[in-house]
Amino acid sequence: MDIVVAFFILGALAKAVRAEIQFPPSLYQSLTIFLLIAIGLKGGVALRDHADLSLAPQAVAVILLGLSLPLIAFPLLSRIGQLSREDAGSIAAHYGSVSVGTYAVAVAVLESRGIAYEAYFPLFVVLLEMPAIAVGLALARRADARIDRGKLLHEMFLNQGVVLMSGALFIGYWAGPGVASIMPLFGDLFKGALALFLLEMGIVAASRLPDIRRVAPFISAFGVLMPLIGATLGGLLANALGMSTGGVALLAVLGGSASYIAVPAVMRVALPGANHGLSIAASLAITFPFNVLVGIPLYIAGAGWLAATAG
Amino acid sequence: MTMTQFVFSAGCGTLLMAAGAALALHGAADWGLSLVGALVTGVTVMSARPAIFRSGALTTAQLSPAES
Repeated sequence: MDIVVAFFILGALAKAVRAEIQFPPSLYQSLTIFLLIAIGLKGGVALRDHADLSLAPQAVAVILLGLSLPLIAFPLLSRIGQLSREDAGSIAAHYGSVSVGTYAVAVAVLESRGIAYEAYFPLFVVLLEMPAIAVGLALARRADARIDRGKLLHEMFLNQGVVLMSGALFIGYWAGPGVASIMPLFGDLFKGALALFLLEMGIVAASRLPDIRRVAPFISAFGVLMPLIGATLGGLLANALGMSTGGVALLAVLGGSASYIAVPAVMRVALPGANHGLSIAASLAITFPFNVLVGIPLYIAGAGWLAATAG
Repeated sequence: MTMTQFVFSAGCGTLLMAAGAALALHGAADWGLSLVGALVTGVTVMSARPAIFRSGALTTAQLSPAES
């Protein structure tokens, strides 16, 4: 187990025994901003060396992955889970989009194990944020005239995650070696900040568990099965695109993760009648812990197996 | 919980337990996936337990009165 993951367990255990660990809300927000910028900068620098036409098919394939995941999640949620169209569409969008926190943990684990990966992956993180939202909304079939479409588009394209990560990606691309002057903060302190972030996430995840009590059996099964389906599709796609072992593992992580920052903000605007507590609880209390504790090592092992099979 | 949900959740849990055990026994992964599968199955069975105890068997009607 990677050391940063241990902090997630510490946070969850602290919450379970009702120990008082109080994170100032602004610190959690600051850590999220830090992670988004750090990941974006690193990806931008790498993109500078790899920005050519060969990236286009990979980018298109990644967007198609983002479009297809909600189409798999929605029937499971509406037919088996018997959730309303709004709830099913909202949760499907969460599971088609990505979790930057999960991605950050996966990168930390890959680097600590010395596994190489395509460093321009933050580009794919940005690309995967939006397609699932559009599909989720289409599946929910809400053509409600009361929705402020301007606000909806604003939340979709100008939310914190998209703006900060794509902005940092661009700055890293533009500055290239010039980012070295700020990397003592965004590079050297990355794992320490991630440990603090995961401590808070452990507390949040444990506190969200009571929210899913009403639909616990179905949502707990879905929250574990859907990441495995997404990760399998992502891993196979990355393998077909000829990515490295680390790249296969990372696309599996992106396919298997569920959003808990960007998508909830959009869904509150677009689907005001949906049960937002349920979707956030599913992604935060079940899928995020599953991916951090079990999924990421599994996806890396699967990527290694694919590489060994191909080799 | 409907019968479909019970079968889906318990089936998922059982499959994960089996897949996790197979991977662990081959040394491809640790026992985490099996543990998750056991948790999912456990939560599912515990949720359906009152219906099981009432009749000794599961029926769609007992699991979901709305469907009967």
